Amino acid sequence: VTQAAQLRIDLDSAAPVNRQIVDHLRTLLVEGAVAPDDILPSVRRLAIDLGVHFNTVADAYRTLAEEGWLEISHGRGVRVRRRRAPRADDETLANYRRRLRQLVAEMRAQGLSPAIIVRELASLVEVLKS
Amino acid sequence: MSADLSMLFVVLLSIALLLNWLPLWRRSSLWFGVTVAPDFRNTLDARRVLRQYRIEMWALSLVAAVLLWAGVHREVAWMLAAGPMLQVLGAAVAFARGRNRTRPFAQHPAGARAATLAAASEHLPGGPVAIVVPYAVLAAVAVFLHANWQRLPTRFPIHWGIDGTADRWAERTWRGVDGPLLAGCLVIALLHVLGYMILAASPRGRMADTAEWTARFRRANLRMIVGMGWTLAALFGVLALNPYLSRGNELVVPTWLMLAAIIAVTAAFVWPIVRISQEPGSGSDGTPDECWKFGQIYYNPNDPALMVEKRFGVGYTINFGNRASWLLVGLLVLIVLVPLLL
Repeated sequence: VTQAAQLRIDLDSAAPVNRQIVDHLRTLLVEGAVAPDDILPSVRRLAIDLGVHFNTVADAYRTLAEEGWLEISHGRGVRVRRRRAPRADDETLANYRRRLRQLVAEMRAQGLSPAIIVRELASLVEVLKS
Repeated sequence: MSADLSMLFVVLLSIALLLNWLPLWRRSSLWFGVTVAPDFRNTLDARRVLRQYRIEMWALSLVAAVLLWAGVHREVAWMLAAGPMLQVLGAAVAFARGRNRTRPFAQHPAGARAATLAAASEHLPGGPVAIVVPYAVLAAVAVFLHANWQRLPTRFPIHWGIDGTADRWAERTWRGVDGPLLAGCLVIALLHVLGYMILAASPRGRMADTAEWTARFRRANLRMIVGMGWTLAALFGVLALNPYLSRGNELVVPTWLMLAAIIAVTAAFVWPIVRISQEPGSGSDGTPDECWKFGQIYYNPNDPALMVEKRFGVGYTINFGNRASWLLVGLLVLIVLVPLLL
């Protein structure tokens, strides 16, 4: 893991902290900022650095371990696994399509113009292509 | 004025000068222990708070100097102790009052947190060698003294008054000869324990975009701990060697020289910390203002960190909301008691 790879959360956000850790860490994993076989900070280390309870970080790590991203072993820390993406079925696709539409609607409701939303989506597409 | 009284006044003045600047050696978004806007320290309100603190601190330092003077001239021991105590405690009260004056300008600390995902383990500067050297120096002195046991006086001074005359003696026993070396080992061990506590149990950079600043600040503090370990080894080594070198009642290395050496070494290590503290953009420390009692005692059971940056003073302090802190306090008490029991 490079020093630049940082996990960010917002304690003022309505989203639970363990959810935020899972979401951001998963983003970093998918985008390759954290690579397979990388060693992540221990539960204790990350909790101290973020200023959140040990259980919050442990919950987040456990969730990502269940998704197949992480391997947690006592004494050896938390290692990023080589994960084979599961095959997504039509129902999964429909589910994410609905969530994307909800997200875009939420962005528009917050005052973001369609042009800005298109630009943001396009930048995501660029990341995907690369 | 006697030379001893002059030396005491110099110490008192040095502490006052230190306390004069101490509130400024903080992160840019902290003022008297309160989270404020980064540019608040340049405002008239901030200067007014600082000026008031300095007036109170200097006034109390003056009273402390009078107490010291009276203590020496009338030979009243409690006055000698009360002077410096009043100065330090008075500064703490002045700081707490400054904190109250700053509170109306407090800003809600940003909830954004960031942590590096690098799991690289940190070490004390200099590695194991830098840690072992102070103990090796003290051990070498012990071996030398035991090898020259018969050349040591059967009775020698181990404590001197402020006028430099010996007022307590020890016999040529292992306790008398090795006592200063054991005390030195304990004090150095305590320093090293604190160093490891900082490494293992303090945030590496809790607020977004300040990780690099925090890393340098931590490093400078750890360098000071390692450096002070070496200095204390030299100091206790010289004290232990005194009976061999002196053969009389006097100190081979005068008190003023030892004091000057400690001040010089401390200043050399504190200076980089001061320089780093002066840099803009260091933000806040990510600890809630309401968890700081009187702006100086951190009590936050919800924070897993055992050590956090001080908001008044140099270095790190304990999170008393963490159960492990009482273990650390117990260790401190033990280290103070063990030399007394020996």
